[in-house]
Amino acid sequence: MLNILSVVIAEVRKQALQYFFQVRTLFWNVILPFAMVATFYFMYLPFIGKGILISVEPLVDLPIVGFLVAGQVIYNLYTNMILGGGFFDAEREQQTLEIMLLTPASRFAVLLGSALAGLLLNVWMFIALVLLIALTPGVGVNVQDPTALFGSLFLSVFSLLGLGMCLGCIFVLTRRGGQISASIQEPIDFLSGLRFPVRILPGLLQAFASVLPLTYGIRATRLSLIGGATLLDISVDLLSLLVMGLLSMLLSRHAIAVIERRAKKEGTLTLF
Amino acid sequence: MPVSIETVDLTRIYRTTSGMLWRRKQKEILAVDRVNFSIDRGELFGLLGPNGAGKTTTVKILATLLEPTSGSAFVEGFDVVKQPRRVQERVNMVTGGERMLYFRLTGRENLRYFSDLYGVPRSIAKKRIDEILEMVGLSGRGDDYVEQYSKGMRQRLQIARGLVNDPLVLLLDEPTIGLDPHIARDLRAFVREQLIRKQGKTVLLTTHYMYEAEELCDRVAIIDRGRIVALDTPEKLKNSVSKEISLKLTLVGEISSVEPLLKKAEGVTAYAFQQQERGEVTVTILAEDERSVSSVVSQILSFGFAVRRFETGKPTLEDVFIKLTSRGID
Repeated sequence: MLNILSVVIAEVRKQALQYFFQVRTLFWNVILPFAMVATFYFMYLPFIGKGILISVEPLVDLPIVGFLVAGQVIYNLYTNMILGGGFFDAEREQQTLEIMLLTPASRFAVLLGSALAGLLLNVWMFIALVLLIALTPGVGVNVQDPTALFGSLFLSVFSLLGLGMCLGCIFVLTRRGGQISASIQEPIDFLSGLRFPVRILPGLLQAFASVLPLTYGIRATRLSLIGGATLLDISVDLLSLLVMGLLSMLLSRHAIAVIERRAKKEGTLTLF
Repeated sequence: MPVSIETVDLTRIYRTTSGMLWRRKQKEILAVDRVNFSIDRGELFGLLGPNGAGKTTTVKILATLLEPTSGSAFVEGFDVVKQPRRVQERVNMVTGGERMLYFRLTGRENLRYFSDLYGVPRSIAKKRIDEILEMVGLSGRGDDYVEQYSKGMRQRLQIARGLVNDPLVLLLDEPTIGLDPHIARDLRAFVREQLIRKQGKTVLLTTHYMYEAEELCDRVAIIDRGRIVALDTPEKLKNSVSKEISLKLTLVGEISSVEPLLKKAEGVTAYAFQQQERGEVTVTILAEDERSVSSVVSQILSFGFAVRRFETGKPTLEDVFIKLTSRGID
């Protein structure tokens, strides 16, 4: 257990030193949330104060700006987690994947550390975005139950962490991690209800959407941040996020062992 | 002496596919073909062969990074396929080239990261990292970013990384490739003095440099096209061609025009070519005796080839390789 913890910390530390605490990247990491909020603000400025509502549930209408912004915040976190899963691609390119897998370190700990690093490098930006959006006039923030908002954000992050670990497994197996992460972004953007309520999609597409943690994360965050929902109102979404997070972590634990073995059989651990 | 590394009929076949969808073709490449050897604890064993001979594949199997298609391999008594974690605790690998390090971390941070992956306790790791950095001559540069290191320094840091878990077995895969001659010489001295004499580690060194194998190794296995064609001490291997005379000529011409002549030459037991730049060919010939040397040289001259260089000398491991494979090693 101590060894696993030490590997997780080592992995987070390494990624943070490489990608965050560098003078050249630190500046942009601080500036980025402000730039993003400014982009959202001016993009949605024409709609602010127009009273346009979107019906997300039969009896729940949300202001369009808040609806889009809340969805965008969770989606950004998701995108960053996918990129975080791509750490393994970077390892392959700098030829460090092999020497990492040469060690007896727990692969689950490496995966968890890598996904946690991706999360830590982005979660502060996510929190900064939520705070900045909450303070921006006209977005329509309406938080009635802070625990519901906290639960939505925390479990969204948790489920996306699991997703990041699963993607990390795939990136160990394939040399096309970058292509995979790029190609799954559009379908997930479409199905998760980032720009429209999932309930207006045809039934089959709704079924696909229901297996994506992002769908529940976006919905729960919207309802708790903009719609004034309580913990009870979004309990099904939160439970789904919890179950999906746990399942994907368990899956990644088994998958990494299978995938490493297969990569060794096929000889795909090396870049060339 | 207890056995440290053992391979039994070790075989590895790579399966690759090429072509587009409907024209997809599968191809099999036999990289390692029923390789058998055993290395004693504390021995420096060389795997010598040209590029593509199967050296790196063998090393990667021993390092648990690749599974054999058939056969088996053991490191310190543990099966590399069935007990990979046990093997990983006892082995480390250093390869040639300057990658395989985190360039945006300092040398010390790199070593600390790998110490953590090997589960080395913090208190031991700190002391060990200081010692290793001192040993490889990087103690003054440990806190600099690796991207600021020279090629030689990166290679020394690679060696340091290979020692963070204090392995019983160190696999060195072409460790001097691309290094300046004086840095390569220092590295060889380090391997001999520190790793073998002082620390008593088992070292498997792969190389395609003859002199490196001759200078360092207790025993050498010559590998060609995935098969071991000879295995003995460098001296004994050279003795197998000691009665012959080694002759190296640099001619102006093409391989295709020189080869028919050597095929017919009397007293030539083996030969190999290397096409050089500016239309020159280097020919290495093993001849039975001095009379055969004179005969083949006069034939070459009579065919109008201009001789740029002419060398005779004691047979080397390269001559052993040529005799066994009828090919040069480079």
